Amino acid sequence: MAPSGPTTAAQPTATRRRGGLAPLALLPFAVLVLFFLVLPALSLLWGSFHEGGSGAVTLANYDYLSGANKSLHPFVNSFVISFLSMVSGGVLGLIIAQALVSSKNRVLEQLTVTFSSVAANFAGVPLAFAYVAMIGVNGLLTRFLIGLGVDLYGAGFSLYTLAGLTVVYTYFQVPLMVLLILPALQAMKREWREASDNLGASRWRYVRSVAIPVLTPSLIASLLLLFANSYGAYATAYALTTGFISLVPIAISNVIAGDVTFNPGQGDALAMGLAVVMTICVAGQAILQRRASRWLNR
Amino acid sequence: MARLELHGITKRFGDQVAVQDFDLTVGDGELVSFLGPSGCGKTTTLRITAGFEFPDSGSIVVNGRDITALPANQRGMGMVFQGYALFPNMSAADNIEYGLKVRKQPTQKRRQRVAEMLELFGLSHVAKSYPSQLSGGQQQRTAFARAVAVEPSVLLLDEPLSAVDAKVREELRTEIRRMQLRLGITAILVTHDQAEALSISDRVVVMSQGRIEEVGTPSQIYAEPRSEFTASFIGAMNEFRVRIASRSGGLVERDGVQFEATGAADLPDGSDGLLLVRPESLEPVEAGAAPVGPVIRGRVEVQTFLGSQTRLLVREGSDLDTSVHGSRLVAVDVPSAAAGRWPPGAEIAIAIPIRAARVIAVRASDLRSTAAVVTGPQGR
Amino acid sequence: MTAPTPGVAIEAGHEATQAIGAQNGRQAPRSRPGRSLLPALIIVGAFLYYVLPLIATASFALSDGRHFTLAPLTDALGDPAFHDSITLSAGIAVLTTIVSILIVAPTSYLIVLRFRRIRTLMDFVTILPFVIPPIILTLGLRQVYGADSPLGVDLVDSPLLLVAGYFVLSLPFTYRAVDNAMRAIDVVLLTEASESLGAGGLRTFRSVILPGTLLGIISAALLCFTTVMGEFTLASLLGYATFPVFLNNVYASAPREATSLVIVSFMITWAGVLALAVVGRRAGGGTTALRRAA
Repeated sequence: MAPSGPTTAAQPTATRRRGGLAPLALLPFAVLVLFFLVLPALSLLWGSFHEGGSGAVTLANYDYLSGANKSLHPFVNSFVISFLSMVSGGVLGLIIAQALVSSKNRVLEQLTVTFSSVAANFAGVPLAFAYVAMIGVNGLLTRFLIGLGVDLYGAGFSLYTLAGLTVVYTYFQVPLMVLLILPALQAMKREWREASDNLGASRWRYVRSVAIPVLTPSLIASLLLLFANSYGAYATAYALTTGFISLVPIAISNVIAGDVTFNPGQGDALAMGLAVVMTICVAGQAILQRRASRWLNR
Repeated sequence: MARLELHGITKRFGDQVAVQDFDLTVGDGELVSFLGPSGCGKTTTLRITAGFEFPDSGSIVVNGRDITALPANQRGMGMVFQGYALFPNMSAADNIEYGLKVRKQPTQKRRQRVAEMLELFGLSHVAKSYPSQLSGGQQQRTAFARAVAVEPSVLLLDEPLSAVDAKVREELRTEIRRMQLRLGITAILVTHDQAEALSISDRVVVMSQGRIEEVGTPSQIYAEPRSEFTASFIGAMNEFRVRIASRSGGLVERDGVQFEATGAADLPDGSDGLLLVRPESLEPVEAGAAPVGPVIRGRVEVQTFLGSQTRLLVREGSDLDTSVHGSRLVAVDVPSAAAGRWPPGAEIAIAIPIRAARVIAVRASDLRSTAAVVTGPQGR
Repeated sequence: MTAPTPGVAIEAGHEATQAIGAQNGRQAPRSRPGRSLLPALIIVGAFLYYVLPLIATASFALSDGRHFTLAPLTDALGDPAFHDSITLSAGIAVLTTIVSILIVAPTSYLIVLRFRRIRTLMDFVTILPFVIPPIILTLGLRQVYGADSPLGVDLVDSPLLLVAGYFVLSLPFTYRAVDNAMRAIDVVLLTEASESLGAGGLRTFRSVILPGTLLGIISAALLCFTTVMGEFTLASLLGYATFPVFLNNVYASAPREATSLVIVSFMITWAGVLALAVVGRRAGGGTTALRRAA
């Protein structure tokens, strides 16, 4: 019969692939990542375990973990603002995304997705100033509400507090939630509801037994990203409060600017703490997302 | 268990008619297939039956009770969806149990029924597996088990096998039939796969453009199609344009030769008809034999091996002929063992056996499409 | 021969019906007009929510208290410091984009083609900047390349440090966009096809891979560019007066002018997102959600 060819035919390509100059082409990437990402990170890690002056190994930089020096404050504040804006942004974003899915209108959906992309990226300094113009002491909305008999600032609200900052953060959290959760909502199959109907179940039963369990991993994954998104945010808070609210990124920037509240080693330890929070969120998100995609992929 | 009647069902989406005047009665324990191309209204009819769509007019009656206005979750029908629609967050067993829980059956009874279903469908070893961990065939069985666990009045199957690969499909369709007979359940099967419809149904409803083309047993639909649509949709079919020569004598005429054909007695003298012959009904004429009916002469263009049979595509007429009034392709099946006698290029004579030939009327709407059928343009 | 063989005939006829059956699409979903009212209201509310800060911005910036005026905007746009800042931002953004694409595209190609084993490592490395936000990276970069650099390399005064930092910060976006494009076309198969026709590695990359992944690469470039244009943290703490930094600095002395520039910033974001949406639609994918570190 005919000689068996396929296995031998594939060989030459495979062998030619090895060696050569190809690995050299990866060098620029490797060098940039090594010198401008890995090395700085390692430097922070090293610095966080060493005493500034003597260079002796120490855990003292992490004393903020014990709450000493009131230095845990930034983490508590960051947690509060991140948690609140995660909840507000998550709830509003989920409602909007579900409305988009229910409307079954492709044009409206595209339009809203585009607007959400813009809004999610409209953060930082410009957003801070836009919100001052809106609900600052003399903001458009503030004055409008006073006209309606609602005095925001008289009631104790201020844009330059944790509460105010939460309101501003919510602005970029809402659209981010829309963008993150929309694909999951769209992947919910109509047939699941029909199958549930067909088996005699009520709408509520379907929501409780199918919709919520199926969406939970995507939901938590999205919320984790929202949390991380505001936990690491710096520009908005800085532009709004010029560093007077003690959040982790602000505290780190104060170290850079030479503030004496924290010594350099403590600055490094703050950075490591922030990195740990971010890692938990990002890793948790990745794990949950993988689980979600197993259910939601067709 | 149940007798299902659909009376004058009509459904429009916008200005498009999806289903029109659909009338059908499905007897107790009968399996009826809706067969037709995409967009012919078969799925819509099924969804109306299930209660996912509501008809613009017409009524649905189960065991004498009009359920047209009843919402889907009160109809007590079982459905197997095209993509199965298994709940991804529940194991196979939980999926099967869902309908029983909804019916608030006592735990003991539920467990027993689930175990019984798992056993019946050979799923016991994957009871705790999630849909994403099941093979296509196992998912299909789980969906089937879920639908029948609640002892539905009617079982609705929406392209239940379109998502499994060809090998498993054949095995599963036999299983669907076996289970349906065993449970004695009334069932409707929607499919675009003629093999599926013909092989396991009691009756087949051929649909086209929202209407019923034809209803009949699989052998009726296959052997004696009453419309050109059915003829061309199901199986390979040779179609020859003929003229009704004598209604009383049951004679048709083709290329000047008159011969008997079934169905000629139903058509007026002198009208055009289509003579339908399956490739396997045509026979090569042995040298020296004198066939009774008309003979097609031509040259073999290509052979296609089909297993025990080999199909020959024969171009009718001599080489000179083609320039005069075009040529026609005729498909004829011969035993593969004998196919060597007609290699490509060989001359061949084919007899149309009188009994196997059936003539139907040419509808005005069919005239244009005739050019596109297997046999090619009909000169003259 | 005379015995009918339905099985065979059915199988043969099957092909014809399969073409029709292949896209056995769903019919139009049922529509009940009354139920779409609530979603519509919610979506209108969402648009209002998105737009309100901009209306407030415009009404504050483009009025002198009583009347509409473009003066603050024209003043701001005429400010030489604004020109310097926007030029600096654009320059660094263009440079970073070029560097990113030149490095990321071939790297991604080679990873898919020959170094599949380190793909997981690449996925990990390129997601790191999410874990290490700009504020941390700034601190680290200042330690390694600051005045008392352990490496003896003081780069703080060189914009190249900024470019390198932005390369790293935009890596999750750029690499993912290019890598997705590489995955969308069968890079290995195309390369083998090209090589079997006698083309060399460079020619294959230039004539086959590059055109096939062009939309993904353009997406990556746009993502990189918009990220850099809006970045505040790194530039501010390394002491560069890029556009966002200028915006922040000028606010204290001239809030109206600064606020009017918010509109400019907003338009840059819009342009970036729209360009991405256009490219994304042509590439067949959805709109890419870019995230700028806030």
